[in-house]
Amino acid sequence: MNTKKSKTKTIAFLGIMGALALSLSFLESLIPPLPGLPPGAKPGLSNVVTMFLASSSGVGSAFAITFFKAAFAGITRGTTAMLMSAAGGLLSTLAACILLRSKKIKFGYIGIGIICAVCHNIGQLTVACILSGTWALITGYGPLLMLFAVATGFVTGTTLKLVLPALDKIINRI
Amino acid sequence: MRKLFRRTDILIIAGVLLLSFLLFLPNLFNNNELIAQIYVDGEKTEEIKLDAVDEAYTFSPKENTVISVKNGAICFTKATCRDELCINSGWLSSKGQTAACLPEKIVITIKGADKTDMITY
Repeated sequence: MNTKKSKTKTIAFLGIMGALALSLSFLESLIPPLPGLPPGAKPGLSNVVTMFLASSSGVGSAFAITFFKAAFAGITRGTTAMLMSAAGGLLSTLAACILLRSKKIKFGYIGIGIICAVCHNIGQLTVACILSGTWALITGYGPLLMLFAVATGFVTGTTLKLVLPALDKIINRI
Repeated sequence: MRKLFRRTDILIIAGVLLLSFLLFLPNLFNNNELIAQIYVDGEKTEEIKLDAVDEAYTFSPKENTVISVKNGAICFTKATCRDELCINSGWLSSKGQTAACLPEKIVITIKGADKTDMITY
């Protein structure tokens, strides 16, 4: 990775990453609700973007995109959506930063993807409980959300592993 | 470069599955009568014995939000928000199922009656 990047390049790079995260979120929102799955459950493909930033760019840019996503959700879908996006995003980005940047932690991408997905769901569930004032949501939604996190973590971890070499090549050229 | 899958990942998966099971446990310790609890603004406002409902009906816990009840099942049918996640939760008809409307702070959750918690012989 280049040691020093100009400010302009950083802004342009974050702009592309932000657009990528938003378009992935939009694509996911087109998936119709499936019976048996918790409503609003998505594969979380835009988490691949923050996970990539956490591993290859830096903690700052990963959190910048997380806040950007939350702000966009706030503008387009309202305060509830913004809080949900922020809670899940911050917790899973934090997990991604710790797990992907540590040299000591030797989990595979799938394991890290699953932990990030679990953190995302825990963050959202907590905010949902606080917003609704009903802690019954933990036993109501929790089990299904945790099971679902294994599946989504598997998908995001595998995707990250597959696209990482290509993205790293781009980031080194910028 | 990090590997796609390591043996430690199996531990992570096992841990998450265990967590999922532990969260599900409280749902098992109830008997078979289905009771829908409706929480509005964090307060339990209504309890409906779903098996005792003969004729389907609807009610509005808040303006523009409608909940439909029929024998053995309950469902959000009208919501104020655009994504309508509560409606997409569909009919709730078994223990532990939950639907939440966050914008209006309304939660429906299904519990078994807590007459007896456990029977030991």
